Amino acid sequence: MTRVYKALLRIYPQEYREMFASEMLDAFEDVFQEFCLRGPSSLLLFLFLELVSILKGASTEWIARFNYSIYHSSSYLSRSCLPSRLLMRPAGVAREAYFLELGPGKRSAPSDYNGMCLNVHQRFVSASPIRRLLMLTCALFLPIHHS
Amino acid sequence: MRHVSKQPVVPEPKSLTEPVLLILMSLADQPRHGYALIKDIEALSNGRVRLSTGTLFGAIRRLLENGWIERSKQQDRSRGKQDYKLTAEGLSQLKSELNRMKQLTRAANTRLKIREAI
Repeated sequence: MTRVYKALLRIYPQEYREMFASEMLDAFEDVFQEFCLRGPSSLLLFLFLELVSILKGASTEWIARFNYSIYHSSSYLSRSCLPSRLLMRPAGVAREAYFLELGPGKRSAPSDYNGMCLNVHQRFVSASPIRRLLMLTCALFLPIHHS
Repeated sequence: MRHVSKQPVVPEPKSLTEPVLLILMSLADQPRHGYALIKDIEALSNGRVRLSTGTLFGAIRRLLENGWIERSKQQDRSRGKQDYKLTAEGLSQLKSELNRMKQLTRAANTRLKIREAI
């Protein structure tokens, strides 16, 4: 059972594993020995709860790691993360004139409640957890067409 | 020029989650390692709460990140167990949480007394 638990710990991010895996394994062995003496039904319940907590904990850690990497991403410096021209209305240029120049139908630059333009990362970070999940799902399964 | 006095922004104390509160309570008297924390928390809650390892170490990671607990230098070398201890910041968080709970208890008792008096 310890081997199975050790294998399950691999679903955590590497940094987390390096920090806590041996301690978690150690604690699991102690609790497992205790539950072996309590009977099969208690043992099964314990194993089920451990499995659920590992899946929940690992997903939480991956989300935390993903958020961290977005906040500290160096991709802001690279061209790939620069906002599109829709988001780059220069100071002093009227909104109507700028969007007229870009062409018809291109007036939907995403903005926050204060009218500030947001890029993809900022939109992701400021979104609610459910919206983030939706954005991630869309990013994974829907192809993006750059015009 | 108009002078605007800047008032220090005091953050509203957030209520702690039950696992976090129990971990802080458990570490209040002495440093403990993972399994000792699980056992002590079970005893503290009269057997109501048994933290799984995933929940425990997830909470420990966040507490370490916040600086509320730290790894103790003394550890059980025989099995590589790592002790955790409460920091000054963690102690103050625990005290403020206990004060918050005391206030709530007082308010609830007052309401109950009013109800009984009617």
